[in-house]
Amino acid sequence: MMNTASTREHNADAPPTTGPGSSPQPSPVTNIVIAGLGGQGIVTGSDILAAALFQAGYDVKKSEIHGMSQRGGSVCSDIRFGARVDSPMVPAGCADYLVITEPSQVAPNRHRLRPQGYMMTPDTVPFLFQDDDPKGAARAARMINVALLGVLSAHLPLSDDQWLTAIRSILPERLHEMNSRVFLHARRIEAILSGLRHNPAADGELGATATHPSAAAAASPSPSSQPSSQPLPPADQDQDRSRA
Amino acid sequence: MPDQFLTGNEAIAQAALDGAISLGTGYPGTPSTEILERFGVLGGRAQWAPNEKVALEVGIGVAFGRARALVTMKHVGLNVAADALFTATYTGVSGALVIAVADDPGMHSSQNEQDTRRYAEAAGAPMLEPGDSQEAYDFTLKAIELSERFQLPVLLRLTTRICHSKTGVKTRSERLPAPAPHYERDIPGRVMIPGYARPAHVRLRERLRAIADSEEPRQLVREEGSSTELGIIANGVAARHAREAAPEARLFKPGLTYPLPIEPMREFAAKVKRCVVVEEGDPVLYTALRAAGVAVEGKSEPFRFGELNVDRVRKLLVDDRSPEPEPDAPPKPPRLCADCPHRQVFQILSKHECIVSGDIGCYTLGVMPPFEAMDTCVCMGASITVGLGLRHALPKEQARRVVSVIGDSTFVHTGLPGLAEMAYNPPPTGHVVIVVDNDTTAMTGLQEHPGTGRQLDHLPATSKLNYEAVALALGITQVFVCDPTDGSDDFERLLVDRLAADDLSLIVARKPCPLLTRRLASVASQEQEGTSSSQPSAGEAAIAATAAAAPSPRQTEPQSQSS
Repeated sequence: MMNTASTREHNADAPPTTGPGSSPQPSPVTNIVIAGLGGQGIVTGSDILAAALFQAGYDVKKSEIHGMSQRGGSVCSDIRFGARVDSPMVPAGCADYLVITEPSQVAPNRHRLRPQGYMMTPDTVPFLFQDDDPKGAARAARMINVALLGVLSAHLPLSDDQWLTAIRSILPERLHEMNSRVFLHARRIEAILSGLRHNPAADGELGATATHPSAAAAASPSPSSQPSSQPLPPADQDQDRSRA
Repeated sequence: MPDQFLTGNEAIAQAALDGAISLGTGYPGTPSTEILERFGVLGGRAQWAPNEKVALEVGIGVAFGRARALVTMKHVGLNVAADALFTATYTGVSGALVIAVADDPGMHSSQNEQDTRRYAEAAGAPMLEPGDSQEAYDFTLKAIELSERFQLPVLLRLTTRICHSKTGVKTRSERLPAPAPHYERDIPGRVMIPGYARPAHVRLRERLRAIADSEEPRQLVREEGSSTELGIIANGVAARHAREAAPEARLFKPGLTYPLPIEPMREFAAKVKRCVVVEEGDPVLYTALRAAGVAVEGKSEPFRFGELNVDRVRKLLVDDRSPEPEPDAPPKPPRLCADCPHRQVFQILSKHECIVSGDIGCYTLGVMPPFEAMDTCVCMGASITVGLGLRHALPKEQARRVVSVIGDSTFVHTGLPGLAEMAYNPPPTGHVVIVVDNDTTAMTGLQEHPGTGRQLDHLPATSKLNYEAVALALGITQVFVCDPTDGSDDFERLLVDRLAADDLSLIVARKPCPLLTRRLASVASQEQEGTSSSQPSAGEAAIAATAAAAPSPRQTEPQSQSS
């Protein structure tokens, strides 16, 4: 079995977003699966993702199972977007992105990823847990859904504003600041790691301009990179506000 | 209103509001639960009933009074409410009666995968089947309209992927005018003695024929594509899977499942060389079409089980029966929370090798390791009665180990008649019933019921059902209350004592669900944020009520409350 630490199966030759002509479907659809355990905020995370995509004008469908799975069992949410989406469920082996919030859930869900798909797990955001304060690390762990959403966001054609608006529309107000920070931090580090440039003008081409992540990771960090010893640096707009 | 991004359940609630539903009622059940909760949040009048039969009967009364009722339940709930349904189609209604029933193909959170479409034909109730949230919204409004126009209860049949999938919805800018409730006496139409029921049955068939002959069945059809090779007739979400699985096919989706638009389907099938029916669950469309002499192909047996998806529809279309791809590891099953008060109960039941007649709720997870302390689970309320049957039949040394375990919400739902049976026909060895009272309907997401003392929005209700008093009133003389989590061996000693006796005993193992405690705290803080009043908020009162419900330390000593 593959080590969960090396989860990057992304290949620059095959961008994860199904561009025109690269799919047998008449209308290209991007498939995302978020999976984890009950209580990890899978549904909340997928609500934020779907709200952001819907507000951006895509046809979006999102589907998950509630009920018994809430009691600590496996939970998974399917999100699909494009010009037109029919089925709300991501077919097996068709997920362009597989977001997994708990390492034990890799094995039950790996089969959902397409061969050139991209998987992200808590190991993708180790910087999140490098807090000297155990309370801080635990708090960060509770935001693993939003952190991984930040990683995912670096591959999707939406702006910071669109994401933060979606976070504010789904989460209660008292959680906005901390979650926005975690989200943006993860988003920026992933953007650097995968060699993406956050230019709103490049919307829609982000997937196509992705370089091989291992190459990006080998490159020296850009000056704007946050030191990894600071797990929750304030986002720009929050610099004047203390960490609650 | 502009576009919204809603689950099917949320869309139905919005339609209930826009359709001026007078009262929404139902019993929680995945995947239907959020309809009423959302309706309440939107400002509709929504309330939980003790069970689905009660809910439907309340809805019938509302619709007899020319008002509009929405009744919600999961598929197995309609079994409980079926008695009311089968005669409500005879009486008909003068207002609107919409019954939203959510099936669970694949049994994500259910004990069977029965197909509610069978009920439509059996009871003679028109049925609409949406395929996404937009249709859930549109068809709810259509159901209100059909119910008022044809004076019949109308079923809105949903499935998990309709209820819990989010898609874009365009809502109406104007609400329907509110109904004007009024009672018009109509004894032959409403009192189903045989002399009035015989003409009522004839009237029902006439009304169903009137719907079939109207423009409605044809208007609700969605037809796409122009292929002359492959045609697909599909219902609900299966139609969306089919669209994606076979983009080239001509597609026919009937909105009305009963009565079916048979002639448009016949015309459709004639336009293609090969016409396949794609439907989850039972071959309902297929059987109806074949009976009508329409040349369609059905699905092979493997596709009768579980949910369909795009891959399975692709295979269905070519009758590929190869096994489904398996994950590298099975998904993690649900289990009792780490701080769940049910844990102590099942630990003791397991230790004493009880034969546990179980029931439906979070505590059904007592069947999972490490407890494995459940021997039967059939349907809501069956714990008490199946346990009685075992006690009646088994040799004494086994009969004395039989215990019925039922949750508080389930006890109110259908446990009460079982308790009456226990008092009336006591087994020779007596019986022991444990109500695991966590003060909520936990499994479906912490819904209220008559025993919690709180109404649907978690604020205080006007009354609170007292299980101990009810048991005493029904003739159960040995009634006890204890907290199984208080660290003492009181619960264990009490259980051992009761198993040894030949009495009828009811033990209320009372400890609020920790998730509930957190939820009520959240309700209280929202109340505080929402009001600047210095008075204690309703949410705080709800917490106080819960605290009062938990046994105080001096009550934890098991004490007989026998009269």
